[in-house]
Order: sequence, then C-alpha cells, then structure tokens
Amino acid sequence: MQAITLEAVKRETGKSAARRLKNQGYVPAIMYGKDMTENIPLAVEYTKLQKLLQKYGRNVLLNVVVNGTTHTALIKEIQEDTLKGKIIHVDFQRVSMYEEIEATVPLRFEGIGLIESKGGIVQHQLWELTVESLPDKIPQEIVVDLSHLEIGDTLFVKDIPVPEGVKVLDDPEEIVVSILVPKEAGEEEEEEGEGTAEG
Amino acid sequence: MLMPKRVKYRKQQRGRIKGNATRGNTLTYGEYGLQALEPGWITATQIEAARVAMTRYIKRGGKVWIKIFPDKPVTKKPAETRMGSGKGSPEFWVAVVKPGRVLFEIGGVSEDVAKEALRLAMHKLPIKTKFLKREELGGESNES
Repeated sequence: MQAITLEAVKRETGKSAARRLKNQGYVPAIMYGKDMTENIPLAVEYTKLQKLLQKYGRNVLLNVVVNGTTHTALIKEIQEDTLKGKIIHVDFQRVSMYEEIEATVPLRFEGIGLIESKGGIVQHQLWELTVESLPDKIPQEIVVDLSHLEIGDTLFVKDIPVPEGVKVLDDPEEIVVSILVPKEAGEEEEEEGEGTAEG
Repeated sequence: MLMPKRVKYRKQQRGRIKGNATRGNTLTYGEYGLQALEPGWITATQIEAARVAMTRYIKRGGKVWIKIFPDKPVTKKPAETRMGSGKGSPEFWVAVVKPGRVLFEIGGVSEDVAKEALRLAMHKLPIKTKFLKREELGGESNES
C-alpha cells in the first residue's frame, strides 16, 4: 500500500481555539503512538481530509507532514456529528512499519443483485472485520462475493478470503451474511400481532 | 402494538428532552434508515402506522427494523373532569426521541424502494426526519 501525504499544522488546545479552527475550515486532530513521548495536537484541512477519505477510505497509510517532519500514521478514530454528517475530530496513530497492528476493514459485498433476483434477502450481521497485519498490508476493503450463495445459506467469517499477511481476529464461526426467504407483508403483520398479544 | 410487558411504576412524570441522541444514532442492521431531526414523543400507534406503511410498500422482500420502543406511559384525565383528584390513568405509550436517533432501518431492498417506504413512514410521524444511507464518510446522509 502506498502512503498518502497529508499536511497538518500544530494547533492550540482548548474549546475556543478548536472552534476558531473549525470556522477557518480545519478539523482538530491528534497524533499519538509508537515512540512518541507526547501527543501532538494537530489541525488538518477539512476539504483535503474529506477528499482523501472519499478516495481511499479509512484504512489508508498516511504520511502526515507536521512542520516538515513526516510521521507514518493510520487513522485510528474519526468522530462525526451524526446529525450533520460532518467530521468533528480525527485521531492519527503513528505506527512502525515492522510491527503488526489491529485495524477494522470494511466489507464490500458483491452479487447482492443476483441473490435478490433469485428472490432472497441478504441480511447483514457484520459490516467490517477486525484484522491484524503490518501497516502496509492492511487492505482498504475486503470484497465478499455473495453470488454463489443460495436462499437459506449463511456466510461465516472463516469463509471470507483475506489477502496474504492479514490475520482475521474475529471469531471464525461468526455469521457475516445470511440469505433469508422473504416473508409476505401479511405474514409479517400476523407474526408481529402475535408478538404484541403476548406482551 | 408495542408496549412493555410489565412496568415497575404505572405512571411517570413528563420530563423534558434536552440535547441530541448519543446512542442509537447510526445505522446498525440495514442499509437505509430514518433519522429524527427533532425531539419528540412517538406513540406506539404512530410506530405501528409507520411499520405497516413500510411493510405494505416493500411487500415481499426486505426487512424492517424498529429501533425505538415506547416504554413511557402517558396519562390523561377523562374529558369534562374538574381539576384535582389526582393524576389521570395511563392512556398510551410513547418512545422519547432525541435528534439524531435512528428510528427505523430497512435492508434487502433497492435504494428507490427503501426511499419510498421510508417516505411513507415519515408521514406517519410527528417529527421531522431524514433518510439515511450506509456509505462512507462525506456522503453519509441525504436529507429529504
């Protein structure tokens, strides 16, 4: 995986300083991690960060440039305003290229249309996998092909092929996706009616 | 209709709704959802009406999740009663909703179907809501 360069500036800490930064189009961030004695409070440009996330996703190896010093880092956490859908704060974790780290990788499902054309419903249980690997081996996403599944089938974590050098930490017996038989609206209403009658 | 099986106390004070939802504010089960934009009480009847509207529209296929539960009893005094003589009797149940709360989720249907089903559900509710779609950052929500 090629590292992407992201420029950041040091920032003042505190509520009013953060507010000022947000008004200027920056997102407050922090960097911590390997071989660092102190955390570095940073600010990154909102538009640049948003473009980067849209293009590469969250699991991207970054070269964060702070005042001419380059830090190899990963995005550890993104805080969002769930109402406005805006990024509030970003955590960068500095990593060593020779030590394995834990990361969550989103799953991309393919072949859903084929299952729906057969009349099945795809019920998702897991949307991402927790993996362990070297920072440069972490995939941006894992593609899961569902086209071979039939109605009533279940896909487990152990069935998902992962790239070499990547170890899945989730329970192998955990269900990722199950293909259900669709219910008639009437059936469902009856069922739910029974449920409330019990209660 | 949804209501608790058993409660410790029959009557509750009304309370007030402050702030935004800090839990239950993201999509967890389905690909699409309906998010509250205002605070309010949603009655069991309204939840049921929204659920029926959605399930009837999506017919065969798809799955609907209801992510709120009406666990607050609301009391009412009978009509033409003089004030006093204690609190009225429980009449219906409501779910207390804060802005940001995901009310319903839908999975296993196309975006168009989900949008229309949730639009129908939206009209059964007493608060403003928006359509949510599971996507990467930057395009998380489409207001409608």
